[in-house]
Amino acid sequence: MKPIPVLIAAALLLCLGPAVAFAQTTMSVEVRETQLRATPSFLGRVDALLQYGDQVSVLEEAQGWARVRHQGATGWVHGSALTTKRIVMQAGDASAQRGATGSEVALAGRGFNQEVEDRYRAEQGLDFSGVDRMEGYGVDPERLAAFLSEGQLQLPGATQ
Amino acid sequence: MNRCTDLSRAIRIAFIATLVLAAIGCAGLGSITEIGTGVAVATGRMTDQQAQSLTRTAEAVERSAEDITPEQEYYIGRSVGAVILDQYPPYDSATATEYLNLVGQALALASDRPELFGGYRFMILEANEVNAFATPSGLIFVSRGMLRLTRSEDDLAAVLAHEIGHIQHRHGLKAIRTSRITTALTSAALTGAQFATSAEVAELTAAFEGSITDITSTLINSGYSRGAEREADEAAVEIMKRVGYDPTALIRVLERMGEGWDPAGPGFARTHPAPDTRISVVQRAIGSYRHQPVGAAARQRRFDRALGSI
Repeated sequence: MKPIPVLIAAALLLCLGPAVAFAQTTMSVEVRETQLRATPSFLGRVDALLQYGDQVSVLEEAQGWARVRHQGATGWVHGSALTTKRIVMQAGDASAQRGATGSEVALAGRGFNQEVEDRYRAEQGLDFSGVDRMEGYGVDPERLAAFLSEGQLQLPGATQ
Repeated sequence: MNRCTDLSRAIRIAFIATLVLAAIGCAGLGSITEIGTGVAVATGRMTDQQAQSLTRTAEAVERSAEDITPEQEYYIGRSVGAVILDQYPPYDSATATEYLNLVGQALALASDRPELFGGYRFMILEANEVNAFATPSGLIFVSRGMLRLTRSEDDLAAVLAHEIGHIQHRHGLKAIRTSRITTALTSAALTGAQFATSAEVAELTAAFEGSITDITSTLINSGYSRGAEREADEAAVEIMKRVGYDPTALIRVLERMGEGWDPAGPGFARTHPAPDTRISVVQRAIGSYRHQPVGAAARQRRFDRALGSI
């Protein structure tokens, strides 16, 4: 075999490496709060809460869900709550000072943040009370489960 | 030149090519620039400051809507929501709002993007025009005029699932001009200090204001592309199938929408493709799927109770 095709193949393998190794990878929670569940379903029992920036070890993946370990507990988290970037909560963190870039690290609270919103709000004279009220329209999980059941509806994933 | 030298040169070239390929494939342009500037700094050909500004320029190339973190998306969405509520007051009915949030939450949790920084929330707007908006962060607004086109929970689900489809595909964020995203993200990535300087906050606020205007003018005036509307309709059909709603409800709502269709008027007619075009997209997305009509009576009872007099 000629050396160039072999080496191109090696380069491709190097690129595929991280995707193949997903099952052992470390990921971070990129939403304000999420749940560690007993089964891969939003109706699954909640065993623990995970906060923004928490790091988890991914053990396996199934249908958009990841089974993860966090501080000794294992359970399922939906993949849309996780990122491969490390989320740095404190801007004074060593990796931030090393000038880590956005491709590996996201700095929490930087960029478009509360401070920018406050300034924008003052400049525009906008009223945010409606948006604040709307954020309180969360749905109680038990109420949602009963609502689904009454309407003979379901969510994807196993519930047991 | 003898064969031996030729071969070793070929191997050397192939080795360098491999490294370059691996770097391009795995790391992206920004990181290559960083490696390059790192070498330049180490060899004394560039100051740290020059290196940083070069890195910043390179990052400008690769920034896009996909790079906006859910946290920043959350702040963008809150302000888009405040602008919408500045133009359309909320319709206050605790019963109707709770019902809207139950149906909406069920759909959102069945979407490909159930988790957002602050979650999905749904609100009714006091407006007779047929309209609905979704902010990138998960705030979904539906006008009373739009709700009057729905006659069942499945119809309502069709309207909400279409808006969730826009969020799932990040259509709102994609309406933001790239230069503004670059400002937000390079500032976020490069400032190691605890607090941004006031000049940085001013620059960020200008980029923020521009981003909000890009999104609200798209939502209220110009509308998304036909391609984006097709993606949202296809997502809506898929989400409805997963939850157990009848996806043909979307066709029924579009047919009713078509009856009073006036592209010169306000609302959906100004910002969306004609219903006929969308109906054929929806029919293709439904394909051979056969809905199992179970639970329809219970859903109709609660729909009539919550939205019957909207």
